[in-house]
Amino acid sequence: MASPPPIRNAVRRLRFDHGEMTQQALADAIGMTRQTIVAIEAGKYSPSLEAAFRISRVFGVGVEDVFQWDG
Amino acid sequence: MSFREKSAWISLVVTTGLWGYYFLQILRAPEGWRGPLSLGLLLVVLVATGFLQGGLHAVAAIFALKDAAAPIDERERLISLKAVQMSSFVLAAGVALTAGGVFYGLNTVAMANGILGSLALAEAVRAAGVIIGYRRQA
Repeated sequence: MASPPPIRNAVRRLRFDHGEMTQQALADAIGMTRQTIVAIEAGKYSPSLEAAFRISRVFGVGVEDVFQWDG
Repeated sequence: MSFREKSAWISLVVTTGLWGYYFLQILRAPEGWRGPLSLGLLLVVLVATGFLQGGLHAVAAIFALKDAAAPIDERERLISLKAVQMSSFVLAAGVALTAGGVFYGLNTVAMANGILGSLALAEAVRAAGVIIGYRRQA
């Protein structure tokens, strides 16, 4: 089984910092499914660069404030 | 469980169930009867596949309308592509083995069933690959 990518993210914390935004609301905002947000938060899926930018735009922060290389 | 994972389960169960039944009947039949039986059973399996897949997907969609209508996203596309990659290998191997069997006396009915078996197995592997993909990234 493939090891998880060495990237951690602050999506869960940022959601709560933004009025406890739901996973579904974030998913709708970036055109993804809620299950994909769940997978990203759990560190089981690393989104594409485009999706990473979309997520950071929703929270009004830079990409590196959301995703950090952990290798 | 997302609608698309349920969809993969439906495909896996319907494919293995119906094609399993088909090949069990073919293998049990005497050699001379396999040709006509294959044709009759093939029609039954194709019609049953259409009804079961359509019906079960409709029921699954009724319980998750928004989920079923949502467009596929990049993660789901990746899961789907990996599953298709695995299944295309199975299909190619099955077809190559069937073609090779012709040189060892495989008759036309057995050859047709070899190709049908490869298609059914490839679809089962695709559906299983999708399920595994969703389970690993749930």
